[in-house]
Amino acid sequence: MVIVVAALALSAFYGLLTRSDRGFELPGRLESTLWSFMRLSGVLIVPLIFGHLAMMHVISGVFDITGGGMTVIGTDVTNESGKAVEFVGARWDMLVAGVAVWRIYDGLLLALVVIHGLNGLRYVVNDYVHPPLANRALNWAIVFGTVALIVLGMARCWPE
Amino acid sequence: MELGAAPDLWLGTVLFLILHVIDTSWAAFYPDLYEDAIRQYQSPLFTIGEFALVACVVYHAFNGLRIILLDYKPAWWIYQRRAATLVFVATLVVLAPTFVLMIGHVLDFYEEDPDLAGWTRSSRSRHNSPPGSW
Repeated sequence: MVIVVAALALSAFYGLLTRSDRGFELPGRLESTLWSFMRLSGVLIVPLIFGHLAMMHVISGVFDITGGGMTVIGTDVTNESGKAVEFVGARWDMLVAGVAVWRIYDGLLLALVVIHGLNGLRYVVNDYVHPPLANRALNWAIVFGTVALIVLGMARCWPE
Repeated sequence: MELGAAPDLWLGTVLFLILHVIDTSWAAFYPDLYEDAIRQYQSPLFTIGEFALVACVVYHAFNGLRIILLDYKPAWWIYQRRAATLVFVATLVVLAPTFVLMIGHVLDFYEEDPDLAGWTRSSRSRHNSPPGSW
């Protein structure tokens, strides 16, 4: 919400400043890099997301996140309290040869999916929203939102 | 757009992604809020949404692979009709057993507590938090 308002204000300010009647444009090279990224990340995301769905929705379900006394999927730890935070903590503290595998898995999936998903949203915006002010505002909201979501989501992926 | 004629489904997937990143960050920053979020996800409304989301993701995965393949081998566009059908079939083949297993989880959950109306739970339940109270 804050991001959308800030982006709209920034877009209006930019329009006043430059008298620009054009929408948001990325440098040509970045645009084509993103085109390739959508394909490459797509191929990487498919196995990662299928694994995520298998673990969280099929083998164990959403209801098992709060399953007290149940073994947390992908670990050999029991969720004693049946609290969702213990479930997440057990996965993120799971070490294989000293490596926090689920932090890396989740972190990789997060970064790829957020960029892929919000860049896709950008394509939709550019297909449907042509007025320069709104186009710039939405594009900036998407750029800020992408950065914000990655920072927020990865904040605890690093070991403290 | 990968979901083609149904951009609203596509948008739903991205909106859920945004929601899901935010709620998962609560596991680290606001543990109590995270418990509430997961309780909401266990409510009937989100269970329906969960099935829809899984369907969207599986379809998008196969359809995306089709697009990647045809971008890489433009000569194969002559098979595009068959490719689109194949995507649809692959989606159904993957979704059928997936939904059976997912329904199994839902039934397990509600069998443990048949008192759906009151949302009260016995202390013997392995799930110690009730689903959403709405």
